[in-house]
Amino acid sequence: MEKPLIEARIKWASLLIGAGLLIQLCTLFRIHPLAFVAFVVVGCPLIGAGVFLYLWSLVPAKK
Amino acid sequence: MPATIVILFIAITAAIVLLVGFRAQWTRSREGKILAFIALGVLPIAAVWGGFSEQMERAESTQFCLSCHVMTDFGRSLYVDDPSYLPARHFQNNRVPRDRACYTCHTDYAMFGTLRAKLRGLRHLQVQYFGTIPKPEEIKLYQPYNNRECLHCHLGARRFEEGSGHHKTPDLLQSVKSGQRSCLSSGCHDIVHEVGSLKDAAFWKESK
Repeated sequence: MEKPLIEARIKWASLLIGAGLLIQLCTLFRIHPLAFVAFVVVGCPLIGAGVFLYLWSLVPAKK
Repeated sequence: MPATIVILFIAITAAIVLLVGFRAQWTRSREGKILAFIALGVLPIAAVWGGFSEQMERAESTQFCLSCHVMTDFGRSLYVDDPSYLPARHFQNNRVPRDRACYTCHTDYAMFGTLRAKLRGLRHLQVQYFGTIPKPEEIKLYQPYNNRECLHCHLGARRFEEGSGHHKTPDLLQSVKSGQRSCLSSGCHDIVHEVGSLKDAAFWKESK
């Protein structure tokens, strides 16, 4: 059975957020300027994109 | 907030987020929708906030500043066994917190000081990995050291206000306070990191 669109989007959102959180987690194991940059430039945008995708999934699609 | 709590929070959040993602069918029920909102909306934002404040705190640490090779000599200069070295005297006598020694003196105590310091840090990183790294003795401040950074701690202190060295001339103290005369470059406290002369210096060994 095909998944509803909202569930597919939630899955993608969770993957993006999960990846961002894992990157953030890794950056917290080392005190170095590159860890700071990875946190801000990679981790935060991934989480932001995931949260945005989740919120977008809540908007009903046009019929 | 201790780093362990932040790390634990982010790890738990990641686990919940992935669980909700792989069990997306849970969101068909009302409880599942609430869970998804918390897992994919509230928790990640809280995790970013916690992680960001932890990273900002780490970026103020001496360990962070000295983690680039080019800064090693500046770190060594804090251990010079000579009280005429101003940073060494401050560091060794706990006049600045040792774990935040660089940040305490090198961040402008002004409204956007922290932000400006971070932006400059990004520029340093670009030079470190994509530019030509200068020799430690060639590294200079962007602008002359501002007395404000010294006065942040020393203003009002008895030794500063009443010290004979600051009353050699009637207007000396006032000119220092107003920034007309620099603390560091007026022949008074002008021995700073001096990384070019560390080869001949003796070093203090901290007793544990």
